Amino acid sequence: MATILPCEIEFLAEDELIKVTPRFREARLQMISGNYGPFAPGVPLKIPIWMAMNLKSRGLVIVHQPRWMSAEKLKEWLDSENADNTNAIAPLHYHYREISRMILQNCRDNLSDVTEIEQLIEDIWNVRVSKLKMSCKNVLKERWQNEIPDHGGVFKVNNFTQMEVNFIRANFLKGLNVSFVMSNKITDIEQKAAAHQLADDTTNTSSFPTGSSASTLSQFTQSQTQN
Amino acid sequence: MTKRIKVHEEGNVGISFEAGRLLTWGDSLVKAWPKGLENEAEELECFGDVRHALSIKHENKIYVHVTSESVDTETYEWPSLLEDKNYTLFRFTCDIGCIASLKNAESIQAAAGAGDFKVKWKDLQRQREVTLEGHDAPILSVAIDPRGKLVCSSSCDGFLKIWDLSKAECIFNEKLFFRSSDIEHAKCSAKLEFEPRSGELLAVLVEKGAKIFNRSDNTLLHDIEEPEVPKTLAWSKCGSVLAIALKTVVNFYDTKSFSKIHEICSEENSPISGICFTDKSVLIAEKSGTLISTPTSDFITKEMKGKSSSLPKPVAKIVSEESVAMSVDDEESRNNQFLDEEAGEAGEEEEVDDLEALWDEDAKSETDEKANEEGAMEFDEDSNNAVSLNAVRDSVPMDKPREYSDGEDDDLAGAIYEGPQPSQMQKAFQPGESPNYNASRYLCWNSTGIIKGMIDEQRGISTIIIEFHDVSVHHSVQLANQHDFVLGDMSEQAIILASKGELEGEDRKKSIVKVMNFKSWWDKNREWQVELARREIAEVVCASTDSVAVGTSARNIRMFSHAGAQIRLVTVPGPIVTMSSNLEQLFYVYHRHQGFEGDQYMACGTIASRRIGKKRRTANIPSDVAISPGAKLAWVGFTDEGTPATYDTTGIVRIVGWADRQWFPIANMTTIKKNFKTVDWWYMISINEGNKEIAAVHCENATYPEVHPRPEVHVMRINMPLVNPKTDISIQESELMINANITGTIDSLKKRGYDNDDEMEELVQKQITKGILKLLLGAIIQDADDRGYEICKLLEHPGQIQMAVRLANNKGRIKLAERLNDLARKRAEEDDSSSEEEEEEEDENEDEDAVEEIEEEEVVEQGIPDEGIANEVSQDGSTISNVSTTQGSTQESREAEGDARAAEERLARQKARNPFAQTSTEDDKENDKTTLDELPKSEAQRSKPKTMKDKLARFRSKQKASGAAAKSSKIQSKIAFGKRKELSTEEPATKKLKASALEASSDNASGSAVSTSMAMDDFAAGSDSD
Repeated sequence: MATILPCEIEFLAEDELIKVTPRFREARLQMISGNYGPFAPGVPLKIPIWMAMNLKSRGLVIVHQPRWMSAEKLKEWLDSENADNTNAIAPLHYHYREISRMILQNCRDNLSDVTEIEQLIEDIWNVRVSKLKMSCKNVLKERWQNEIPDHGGVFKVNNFTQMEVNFIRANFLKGLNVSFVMSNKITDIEQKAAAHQLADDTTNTSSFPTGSSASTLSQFTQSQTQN
Repeated sequence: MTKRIKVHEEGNVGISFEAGRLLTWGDSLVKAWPKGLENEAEELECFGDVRHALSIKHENKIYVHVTSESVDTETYEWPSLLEDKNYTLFRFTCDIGCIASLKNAESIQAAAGAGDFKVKWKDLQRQREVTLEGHDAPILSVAIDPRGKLVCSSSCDGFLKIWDLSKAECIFNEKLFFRSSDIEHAKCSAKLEFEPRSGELLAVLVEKGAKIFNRSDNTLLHDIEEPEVPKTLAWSKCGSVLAIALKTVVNFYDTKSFSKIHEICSEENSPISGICFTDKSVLIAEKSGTLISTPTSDFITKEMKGKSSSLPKPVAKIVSEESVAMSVDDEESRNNQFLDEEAGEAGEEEEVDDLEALWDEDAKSETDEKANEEGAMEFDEDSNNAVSLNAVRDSVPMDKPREYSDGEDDDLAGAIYEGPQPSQMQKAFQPGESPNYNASRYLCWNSTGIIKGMIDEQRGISTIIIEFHDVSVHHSVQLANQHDFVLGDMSEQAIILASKGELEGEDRKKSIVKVMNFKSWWDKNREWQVELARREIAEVVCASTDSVAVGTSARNIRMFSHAGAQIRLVTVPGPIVTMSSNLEQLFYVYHRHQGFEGDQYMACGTIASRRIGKKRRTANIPSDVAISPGAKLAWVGFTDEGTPATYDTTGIVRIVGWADRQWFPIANMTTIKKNFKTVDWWYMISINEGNKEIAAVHCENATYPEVHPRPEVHVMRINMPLVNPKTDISIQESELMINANITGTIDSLKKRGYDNDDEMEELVQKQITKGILKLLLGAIIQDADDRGYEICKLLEHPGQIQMAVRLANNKGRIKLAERLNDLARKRAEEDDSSSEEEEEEEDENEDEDAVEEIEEEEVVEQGIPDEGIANEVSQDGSTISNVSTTQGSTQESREAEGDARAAEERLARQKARNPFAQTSTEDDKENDKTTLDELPKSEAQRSKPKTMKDKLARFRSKQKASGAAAKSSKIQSKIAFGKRKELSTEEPATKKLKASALEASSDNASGSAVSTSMAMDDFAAGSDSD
């Protein structure tokens, strides 16, 4: 049941590019992920977030607020999230949670509406995670209601981001596993019971007329479904 | 009988009543009440908060104009409130704060003021629009004088201005209110209203009450003091009562004695948000959404009306007595012409004591009754036009009720001077500053850094923050703004700040200039400060590399050294508009004289700070500033190369053309990016001629960028407004022109005593050659050989022309090639000096690449029939691959870091490859020469038909004669291959050989490429010496 830690996902998100205005002069930097630069004071360019955060902590860049990270857009997103009770809306950015956390933590002075954005991100996160939880619950519930469906239950993870799915993964998989184990046991028992009954029936058929045996069998299946 | 009616939800409720049309609004909802307040209303949901709504009758239609948080007024039809999208009364660059209308005998007028400091006035019938500029902050309120001659406006800058419409100028200006930064922050609504009947008095709402001004001499007639800040005011229709609304109380004053005669309290202390007089009642809007209606007869007596009849014009009809339906009988309110019937009853009610008026009233009521029978809506409007009952604005009495016609307008027209109107002269501005009514603003934003001014209004702290783009120049500085500095500029050596001071006024502050000479590391005292004389205030400042300068109201430019020595004093021939500097050059713009019809007439000049031991002459630039019709300057500065540049309010960027000392446009900012809207603006930061780039900030819906968060700078390619600017040829042409201008810049720098920048010069020359070759190719593709020839005449060196010859040959333009050859020969004769050989060689190197690049496609297609040539072609192929890689990378880097670096990179790369070439392909090199010289020949002889061979031979002899044989022979060989392919495509050996050739090429790709080009150079050199 190994999962990725949130900080590891954040590490992955650090490769996303972000627009910054450098405050120093430097030639092109050659990195494994690609070449960045040249850096000229006052001329904005895109660099990976990890680099931006490092430079920002040294006061060498001004980080520009990503377009999707405006209070207006996030509000819109939250509204549409709230409007739909079951399905998640396509996120404005796949790593919205991680990137906003990093930027809000390190570059507060370059942003506008910081508190509002913080609140909105938190709200969006809560809404989306609750949807995810709901979806999980439904899957487990379905499993119990309909015995074991052939497809094993539908778990909707459309439009959820890595962070969110990861958030729920460990518990959900565990739950699912337990449910499988249990349902397997139940089916075992049922099958055994059925086999037993059938054995009884076959012994009965030899002595009783066939018509009655069929009726008892159907009665049995009915009772089984009621259970 | 006071009535209370709930009309809106809680909020800022407003009312407007004009000629029987009642409009109410609250938050984003507008309601029209065509049948009176007790009946149904038409509703309209607007976008954003509605600031004001009013109804105007124009061209037989009644329109409702609504101003909300948008840049233009929205128009709806009365009373259905259906939108009329085609009709916009006013449009501004900022949200509209207030609007007023007036309808009198002569005209229908409307005026509005907006957040962009402008007031616009419009005569709806004659379609005349006047923009009144002069306020320094968003407009709070406007009013039109009932006689239609004056407009009055109040603004957040605290001033009340009265404008004369015939001259479109301000005739009265007085500071009455506290200054505020925006409409929302204004302490008082500064509401203005003319006395509606005669326009003799003007009531102005101030913080401590209201002031009444006399129209004739603009003197203060009376000062009404109130215990708290009043909310709004209104005149009664008869002009005898002035109502002033405080928070919960409306006080009524007699306008003769200015004594309080009545007061009305709001219900449950709900704040009052609007008052409006109809004829028989007064409507008071509360924030709770309730309207209170009280009949005016409670406090307006006949005596008061009698007194107020002493007016300049003989007033026939004082008032058409009418009211909203709720104060009328049910019978009348059922009818949608309730107002007319009201008017009909007016006579009976004997509210009018003037006989003449009574007569008129009777006459009118008759017509109205007819109108009622017919049920025609227009009559309602027309019969009431004698008194425009807009609660907010005013009206003028008329002699007779009559229909409007266009002919009547002539009387007024005679009075106005119709000749060319003098335009308003632009005030002095600092390039890159944002307006100083904002709490936080930019004092300066240039290529060195940013100076920001922040005012914390709550704590009353004002600070200045100086940030450098490059932290290695200096760290950020923050200082307390004790002297109220509003001007600032910075260079990499010094910062200059100045306060404006005041020429007039009680304090008469002197201008203070502060300079921070932060590069003098060895002097303890890095700051100094001077006060200018009392009669002279600073208007612009500017910091250059070795001096700072202050432009003053006395038209002086005072130059100081960085450490504070006064080094020059210059008087400019006109009022200074702006200044900018680059290196030691100071570029200033001033008004030469009054312009007309919106045009400005500005001139410019340069001053150089004189330094001992160095010859520094001023740059020779045109003496006048070129500007688009009707535009103003928005920014002035230098390009990174040091060419003076301007940017005007129509979005055109111009730079000085050094060759003929003229201004030429290099970019149109309104079309530089696709998502640009008319209300947007580019805030200029810098221009780079070498990279053909402009750095600017996109201000959405505004003219200035926000201070926090720092907006992002966009770097865009220059788009010269040529004909068909988007085509490749136009782009090349514009680049060629700009490149040619850079050489002028370099010359100018040389003349001014700066060192030669050889690298730069070379680079520019290369770019020019390349551009010309590309244009030639474009011309060839379009079958415009003559144009190509003309363009090639711009090439200076014969070697460069050879490139063109090759290209022409390559494309099969034999005649063009011949003519170019002649040209090359002539040029060669003209300058037989071979001193620039080396440079040329390099040029050719580059050019060769260009040519090869162009050839690329052809070569790939060629079939190779013989092993002997396979080698040669392999080299070709490798050259191409090499070229394309270098080309690709150079293009990338060019975009990012400019050509200098690209060239370096390229040279380095070539050097790195050279050893390879020397060691591994020594033989190839040898082969090269033989290939070039002999192979084509032999090939041609071996497999070509005779005619082709002859042709080739003829070519070759010609080329040899002109000295470019070697190079062109290679090209010819290629042509030959192409031709042969056509002839013998079915040779089975071809494919195999081609495959082997490709293999070979990939083996020694790097080496052979260089060797080829080197070989080519040898030949080129040889040919040139010929």
